Amino acid sequence: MTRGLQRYAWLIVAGVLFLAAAIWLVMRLSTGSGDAVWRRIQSTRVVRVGVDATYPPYEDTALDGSLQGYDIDLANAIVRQWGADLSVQFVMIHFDGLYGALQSDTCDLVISAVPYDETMTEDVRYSQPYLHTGQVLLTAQGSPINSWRGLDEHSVAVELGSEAHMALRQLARDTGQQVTIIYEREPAQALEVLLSGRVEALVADSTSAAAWQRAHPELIAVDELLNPVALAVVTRHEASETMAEVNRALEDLRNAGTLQALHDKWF
Amino acid sequence: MVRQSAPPNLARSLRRILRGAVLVWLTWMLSLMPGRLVVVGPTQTVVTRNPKVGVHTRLTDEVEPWKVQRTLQMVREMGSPWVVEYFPWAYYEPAPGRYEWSHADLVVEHAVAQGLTVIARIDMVPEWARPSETTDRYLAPENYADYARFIEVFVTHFRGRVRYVVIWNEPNLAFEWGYRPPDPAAYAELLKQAYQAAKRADPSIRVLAAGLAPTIAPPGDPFGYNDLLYLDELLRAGAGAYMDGLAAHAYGMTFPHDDPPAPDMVNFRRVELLHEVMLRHGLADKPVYITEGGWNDNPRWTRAVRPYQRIAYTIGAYEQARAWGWCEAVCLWAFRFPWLQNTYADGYSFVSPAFIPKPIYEEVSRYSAGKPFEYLEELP
Repeated sequence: MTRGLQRYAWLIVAGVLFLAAAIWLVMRLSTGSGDAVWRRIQSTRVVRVGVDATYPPYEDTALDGSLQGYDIDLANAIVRQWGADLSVQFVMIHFDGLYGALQSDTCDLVISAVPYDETMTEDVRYSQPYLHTGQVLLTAQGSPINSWRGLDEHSVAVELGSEAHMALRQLARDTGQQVTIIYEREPAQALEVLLSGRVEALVADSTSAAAWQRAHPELIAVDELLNPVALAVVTRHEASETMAEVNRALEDLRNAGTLQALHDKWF
Repeated sequence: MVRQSAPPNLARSLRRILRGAVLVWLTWMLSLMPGRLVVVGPTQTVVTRNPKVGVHTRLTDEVEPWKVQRTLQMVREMGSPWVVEYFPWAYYEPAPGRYEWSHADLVVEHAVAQGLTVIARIDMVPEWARPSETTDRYLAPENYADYARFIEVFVTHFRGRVRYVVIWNEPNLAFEWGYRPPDPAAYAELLKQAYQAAKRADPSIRVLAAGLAPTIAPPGDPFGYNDLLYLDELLRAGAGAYMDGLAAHAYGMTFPHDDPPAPDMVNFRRVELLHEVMLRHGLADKPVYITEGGWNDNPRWTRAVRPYQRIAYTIGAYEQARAWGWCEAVCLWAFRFPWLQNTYADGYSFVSPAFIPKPIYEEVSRYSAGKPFEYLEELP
């Protein structure tokens, strides 16, 4: 009797699930994709990408007026993955208006060195990270410093009041290390202090550090990024299909070595 | 005598119940603790060499009482006697005639206990006082009386604790005027009604006309109305009779604090031009209160300066204002945000959301206390 009832209950559950799946399928087929952003891209063959082109080397304006930078190349690469006949239309938006531009349908994607922000995940949809920024520990060759934990009783340069300065202070407090922090007014002065051997290390944001390493190959970035920040492509919250396509494209670009090539080109 | 122990199952059950009860009691005690730990405490005094130093706090969305208290403590410890805070009408009168003051009381009580003078900026229209499909900056003339009534109730409620109110915010921007073209005459009428209501509640309250957004937008610009022209129009509309002073926004952008003012330029000393407009209208007796302003040091923003420059310009601005007899306070944006904004706005703060002081906080504290600088070589 009990066994028969159980079998009956399972049948009801299976029936309800089947009915729900059928309804979902019918609704989806009747409306096409549930993602209006993706539908628009497919019909117009144009992808509108919001950027605040004031932040080199991620994005800025070249002397001839064209846009250039890591994010500009990335946007073009993603859209190429979606089809050779698609084109990118960059929409210039102030950094603070980027999210609003998505909501107001001014653009389809934002690719503008936007950090992943957990507090915004109910409003917008983020891709997997395409780049991580943060604070870098730079040393000269032969330095005894090889990690963030190895700064005790060493002197380290920073730009006064910068995020690097704040991060180093916090690290010293958290780890109990006695670090002599040498602060300079300008980033270039902090670099000069390291190059001249007056300090044993320098902390700077990863963008500056990459540029300095390019100019001074003898500088070494040791250990992981401190306070890493993930940069992601952003779209509207309901654009799940668009974001799935963005993630697929990013994965393909990563596997093909394109992301690394872009990094090497711009940083 | 034989002592009988409880059956094993019963003993186990009793132990479980006891453990459960202890757990419930501990949870209850822990839930009470934060509330009990925050005591307003005796009234403090701000020690400063410059009585015009001030900041704009952002406690509107700060929910934890200890964070409200810690923020205002740090303001006092920086040597800042002035604090501007935002009191959204929509938060405190969610339905007509129904007032909820608990959070506003919390902020004001702690500010007063820290010895701070509060300037209350009041705007944000509740849904019930505006048409649907409008923003919370939209107030139709037929609802001016609703706003004025709220001002009257606010001033009554905080009588003796809040001595300054700012009527609206940046009405020369379309955004702040509900996406309508800025209208000085309309704002003059709003100011008049609010002023009269405030004075009915407390004749000693100081009513300040709204701080205008510094902008050199050309005539007819859909987004903004040149602040100097707007103020002139506002005073032509008779607003001078309905203000005890003028709130002003003084942003330095990328220029030093002493960069000379010019009508076609936005810099810190543009506030002098606003004062000149006041003088032209015979309002020399109505002081200016800088209720927003300062510099930003976020590397992401093109209008930012280096952190070192921000320190120097900020202290320079505070010091410069000492010589301005017409300016009562310099309250710079923004002392601390409850959480990281993840925008350039973070570059305006003096302390982090976790209350970690930035070097600018430390140096302003030294300046206020008359101690030697650590980061600057001399007084800017």
